[in-house]
Amino acid sequence: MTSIASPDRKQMPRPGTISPINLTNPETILLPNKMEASIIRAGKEPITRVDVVFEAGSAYQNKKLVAGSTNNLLKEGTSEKSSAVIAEILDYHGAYLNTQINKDTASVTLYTLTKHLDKLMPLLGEIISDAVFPEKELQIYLDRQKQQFLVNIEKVRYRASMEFNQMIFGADSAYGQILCEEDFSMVTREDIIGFYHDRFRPETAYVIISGNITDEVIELTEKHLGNLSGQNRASDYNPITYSTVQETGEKYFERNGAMQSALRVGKQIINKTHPDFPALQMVNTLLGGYFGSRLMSNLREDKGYTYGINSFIQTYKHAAYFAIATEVNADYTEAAMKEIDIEINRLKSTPVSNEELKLVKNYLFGNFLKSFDGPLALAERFRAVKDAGLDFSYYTRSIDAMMKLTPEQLMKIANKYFDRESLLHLIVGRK
Amino acid sequence: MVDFEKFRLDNGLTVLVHQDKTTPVVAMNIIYKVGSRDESPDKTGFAHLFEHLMFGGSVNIEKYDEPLQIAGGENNAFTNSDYTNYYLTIPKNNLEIAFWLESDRMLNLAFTEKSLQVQRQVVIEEFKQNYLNQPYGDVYLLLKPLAYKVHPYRWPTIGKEISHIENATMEDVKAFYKKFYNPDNAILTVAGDVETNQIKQWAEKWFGTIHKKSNGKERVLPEEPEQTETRTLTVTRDVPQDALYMAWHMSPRSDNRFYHYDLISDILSNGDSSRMYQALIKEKKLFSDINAFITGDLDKGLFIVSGKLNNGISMDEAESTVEHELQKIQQQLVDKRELEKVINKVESNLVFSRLSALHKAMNLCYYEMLGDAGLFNREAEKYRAVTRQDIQNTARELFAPHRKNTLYYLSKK
Repeated sequence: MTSIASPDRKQMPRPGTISPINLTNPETILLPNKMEASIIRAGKEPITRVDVVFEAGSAYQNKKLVAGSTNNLLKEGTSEKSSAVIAEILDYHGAYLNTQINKDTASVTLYTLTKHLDKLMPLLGEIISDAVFPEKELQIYLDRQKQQFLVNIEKVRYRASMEFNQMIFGADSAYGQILCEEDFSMVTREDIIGFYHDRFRPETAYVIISGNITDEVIELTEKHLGNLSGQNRASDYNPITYSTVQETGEKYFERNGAMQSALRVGKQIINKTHPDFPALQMVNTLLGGYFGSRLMSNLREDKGYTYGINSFIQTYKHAAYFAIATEVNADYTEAAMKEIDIEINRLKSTPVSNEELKLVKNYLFGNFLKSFDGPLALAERFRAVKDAGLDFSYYTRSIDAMMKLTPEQLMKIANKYFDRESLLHLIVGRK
Repeated sequence: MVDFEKFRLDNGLTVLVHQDKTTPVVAMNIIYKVGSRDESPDKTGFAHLFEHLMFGGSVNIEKYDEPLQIAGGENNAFTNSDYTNYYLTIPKNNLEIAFWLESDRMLNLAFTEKSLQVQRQVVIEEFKQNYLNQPYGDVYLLLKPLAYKVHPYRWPTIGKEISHIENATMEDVKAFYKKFYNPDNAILTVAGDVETNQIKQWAEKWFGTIHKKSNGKERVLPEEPEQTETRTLTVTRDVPQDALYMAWHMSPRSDNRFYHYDLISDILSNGDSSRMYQALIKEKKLFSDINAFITGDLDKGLFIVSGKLNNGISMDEAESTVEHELQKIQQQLVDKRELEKVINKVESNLVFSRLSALHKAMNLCYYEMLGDAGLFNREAEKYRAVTRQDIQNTARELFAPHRKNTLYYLSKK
C-alpha cells in the first residue's frame, strides 16, 4: 500500500444529512376470539417473537403480589402439563418464555427460532388459557421472591426507588403500593385463580408477532392464541386509583455506615398523551437523559461524586413521574443535592445555547434510529406506545415536534414543570 | 451466516467489514488486546481506569463524546481480564466521523491532570457501588485470590483495592497507553449498510498513518500452577442469606474442552428444566438461587457454581447436595435428549446474537481476537460435535476435589 498524507485531524468530517426511517404501522388481524394481533415483519434471521399483553398489571390487584404471581406462575403448570414438562419443552427447542409485570400490564413473551413455532405456539396458547397454579409452585415462587426482596432492600438504590414510588403516588394506592416482608405470606392460590379469571381475558389483551413472519406463523397464531376464551368476569373491579397530591420537601432515611447515598428527586408529571410531552422529554434529555447530559457532566465528569446519574420519565397508562436517580459518595450527599438543584434552576433561568440544543437534537435523532434496529427492538418500541393507546406514528410525530423546539420553548417547559416546591427530594444513606 | 471481509493495514491494524443493508445505523467496534491480566500486582484496576480516560480527550479532539453526539451517535465501552472493548453506533451518513474519533484516540491521548483526578474518583464510586455498598458485592474480591495464587486473574478487573486506583499517576497512565494502545494490538470491525471499498479508504486515511508508539513484546504471563489441594475460605457478612461459591480451574479458551465446560454448566443450570434448578430449587427447596457458569477468560478460567441458601438450610446439606449433582454428571452419561437440549439452546442463542448490527460487530471482533472471525459462524458446529462421553470425561477431570475452591459466605444473622 502506498503511503498517504495525514488527514486534517483538527477538522471533524462534515456530518451528512440523516435520513429518517420509514416506520409503517404493523398490519393487524383479529383472532377468532376478537383479540387483536399486530404483525411486524422485520429482519432476515429465522426467529419469531410473540408478545401477549394483558391488562393485568399490579395496579389492578386487590392484594399485593397477586398480579405478578399470577403472571409468573402461568408457566408453572396447566391441566395437561407439569411445570417441569413445560420447562423441558421450552429448553429443548432453545426457546425463552419471559413474563413481565408492570403497573398497567402483565405480559408473556416467547422468543424462538421460527422452525420450532409449531411446537411452541400451542404451548403458549395452553399456558395462557389453561394455567392451574399448583399450590406447591406458588409457595416456591413466593419464598424465592421474598428472599430476593430481602436482598434488594439492603441496596440503597432499591430502597430509595421504593420510598419514592410510595411518596409520589400515595401509599397503598394502585400506582404507589410497595412491598413489605409480610406481604409474601398473605397471597393464596384462590387470590391467584380469581385474578387470572378476571384479568387474563381476550377482550383486554393484545398480541404482537415480530420477526421473519410466514403464513404458517399467522395460521399458528390464529389457531392457538385465538382460542383463549373469556371466563366469568367479576362484575366490578377496582378502578385505578392514586393520589394526585404527592409528598414534597426533603425526606431522609439514614443508613449508618453507608459508603454511598442513593438520591431521588422528582414528581408526578404528564404522560405521553399530553401535547407538552415531546418538549418535556427534550428537557429531560438535556438534564439527565444521555451520557453528555448536564447532570452527568457536572456530578460525574466535573466533580467525580458518582459513577452515574440520570433522569427519566416513567409513563403509565393513567399517570407518569419524572425522577433523577443516582448513588453518590456519601461524603458529598448534600453537595450533590445542591448541584442537582443548580442544574434544574439553570434550565429554568437560562435558555439553552444553540450548540447544545443542536447536539441534543442530533443525539435524540440518532438514538431514535438505533432504537428501531432489528425485529426485537421494533416489537419493544411498538409495545411501548400500544400500551398508551398509540401507534408508530407517535414516534414520528414526537421526533418531528422535538426537532422544531426552540430554547425559549424549552425554558418555558422547564419553568412550567420543575417548580422546586413541587419536587420531592429523597435521600437513603448518610449526610 | 455472518459474511465479512477482512484486511490488514501496514501498521498491523486488522479491519473487518460486515454488510447488512437492513439496518439504519452502522456499528463500529474496536478491541484493544489489553485487560486486567496485563496489570502489575501493585497497580491493579488500571486497564479499566484507562478505559475511562479514553473518553477524556485525544490529541486533536478535546472531548470524545460531544462530536459523536452531534453526529447522532452513541457509544460505550467495557473492560475485562483479557481485553478492552469500545463500541459505537452512528447513522450511516456520519460514519466517517467515527473513523476520525477512534483514530485520534489511537494516535495520541491528551488527557489532563484534572481528567485523571476526576476519573479516579468516578472509578472509586463505581467500585463502591458495585462491589462494596451492596450485599454479596465483594464475592469476586474474595473468590479470585482464593482460586488464583500466581496468575493475574487473582484480582478482578475493577482492581484489588481502592488505593491502587487512588495512587494511579499520570506517568503510569502514559506508559500503559504507549505499551498497549497500538494499531497492531487492535481489531476494528464495522457492520451496517456499508461498502468495503469505502471502509478500506477511510481505514487507510484515518488509521493508516498511525505509527506504533512502542515495540510490543510478546505477553508473558505467569502460568497458574496446577492446584493440588482443595481450598476454602469462610467469611461472615451483614447479608440476609448464607451463600455458597465453588470454583474449579478450566483449560484455556482455545482448548476444545471449552465447549464441554459450557455445556456442562448448561446441563446443570441453564433454564428451568436444568438439573440443579429442578433438584435444588424445586424439589429439595435448599436454594433460592443456584447457578453454574464459566468465566470465559482466554487463559485458564473458572467454572463457578454459586447459590443462595434458603433460610434454615445448613451449609453442609446444601453443599453435599450440590456435590451429588456434580457426581452424577461424572458417573452417568448424560441423556441423549438432554445433551441435544443444551446444544439446541446454544444454537438458538447464536441466532439471536446476530439480530443487530452492533451485536454482529462485537462478535466478529471478539472471534477475530480469538484467532479468526470465521469462528463465529462455526461455533454451532463445534457445540454439535460434543458427545455424551466428552461431557463425562471433561466433568471427571474438571471436578477433581483437589482443584476445588470454596467460599462460604455466611449471614451474620
